Amino acid sequence: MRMTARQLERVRAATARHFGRDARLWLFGSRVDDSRRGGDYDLYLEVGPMDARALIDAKLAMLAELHATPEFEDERIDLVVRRRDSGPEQPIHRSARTQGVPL
Amino acid sequence: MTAKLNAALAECRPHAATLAGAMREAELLRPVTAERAQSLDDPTRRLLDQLAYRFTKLQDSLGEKVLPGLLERAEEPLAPDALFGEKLQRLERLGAIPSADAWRVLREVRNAIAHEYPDQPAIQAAMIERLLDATDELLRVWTDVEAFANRLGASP
Repeated sequence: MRMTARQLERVRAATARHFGRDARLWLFGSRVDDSRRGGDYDLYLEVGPMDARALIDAKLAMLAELHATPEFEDERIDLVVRRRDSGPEQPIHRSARTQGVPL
Repeated sequence: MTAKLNAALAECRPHAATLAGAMREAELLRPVTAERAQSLDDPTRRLLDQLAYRFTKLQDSLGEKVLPGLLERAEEPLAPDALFGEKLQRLERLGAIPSADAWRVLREVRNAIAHEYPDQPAIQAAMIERLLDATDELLRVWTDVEAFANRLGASP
């Protein structure tokens, strides 16, 4: 996994702050592969029940918070959020969960 | 320097005017329900595309050209390697933008605009509603920025 300890700390803290302690977080995509270089940070989040607008606001606030840190200032972050109560998971959710690294 | 800032402001004006016009029409879409988000007709899609396009252009021109120009013009030198965050804090303190944090969220809205959620109508609806709110906010920022520039002596 290509993520520094400081980045990990930032992402965990931002997740808890914006989506609560029961949110679960994975890193997936190219950053999981140690043999590659650079690339976006693909994050997958499973969260509890929340209003659609609250989810959008939390997602934007979390991205804004991460981009305000020196660790993520110029990095591209793709944040995929799924509510556990939102019906069957899509293929992207399944592959993020099964091929990603839980953080 | 002033010519550069004036050119940047002039670049923003048509974006802001078109965005404000599109926003007046888009207000009629409120409240954006999941049902409505699922069955947008072609003119409404075009209106939202226009809104997103001008939002992006205005946000980019402000962030890349006008805000740095205001910092220079305000004669508040920052280290050449100053982080973007430091520049935003400075602009907030000078009164050029209402809030550095709010600006950052508008930046995230700009990055999220292109993403559509065809399988999640409630999320799609919330995102459209958020874009409308963000457009109001961005137009207020533009008004503040232009007023600040005028106070600095950049010609309108």
